[in-house]
Amino acid sequence: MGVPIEVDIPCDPTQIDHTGMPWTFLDEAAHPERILQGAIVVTGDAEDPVFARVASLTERPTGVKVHLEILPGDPLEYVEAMRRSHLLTA
Amino acid sequence: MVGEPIEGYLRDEEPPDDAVVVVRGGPIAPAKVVEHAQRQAREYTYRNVPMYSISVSLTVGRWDVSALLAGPLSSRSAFAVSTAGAVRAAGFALLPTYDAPHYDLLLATGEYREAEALLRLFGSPEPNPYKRRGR
Repeated sequence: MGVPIEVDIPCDPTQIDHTGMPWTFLDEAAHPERILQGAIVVTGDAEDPVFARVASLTERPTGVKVHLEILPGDPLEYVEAMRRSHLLTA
Repeated sequence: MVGEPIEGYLRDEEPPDDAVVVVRGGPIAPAKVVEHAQRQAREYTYRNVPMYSISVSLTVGRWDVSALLAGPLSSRSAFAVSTAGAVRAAGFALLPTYDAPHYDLLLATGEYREAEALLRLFGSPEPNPYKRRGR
């Protein structure tokens, strides 16, 4: 039995705002201290995770709003590329 | 009320009932509808009350289903479809928000039972053929 998938910060990648980017709230992150501008994170949800870059963090009346730039492809494609190039074992 | 009014982000657009397909990206599950609607209501208001809604994509303008799946929904592994007429007939409004083909599908409460009722209007989830898989 595998370890359950835990995304860094959940979001709906289709839930955009006027920026055209998906967004979510910082306080939904499993470890908010990891959600820094420019960081690569796993987002979406455990059923359909995706990689994203944290585009910005903005103070809003309702909390800190995190905009995410969804990275192309499936997370497994990145893992496969890293395996091919021995990045995981170097 | 601290949420931002959505009214400033509406397009002037009224999709016809029958010609337009409403596509929701996966996971297609009531719990996800609730989670996403509550997040939206925390940030936005519509008509001065919290706006419980989920994002959907519609086949408006140059957008057909394939273009939606390869574009705004390309990160989603699965999708489900309904029609604008079906969701409106069941009492769910469609707000044209931000840039096409994005819409907000409004819920009254954002609660689980309402999410279940909404998803009954959609067909079975199908895999998104435009999402690439690494192997």
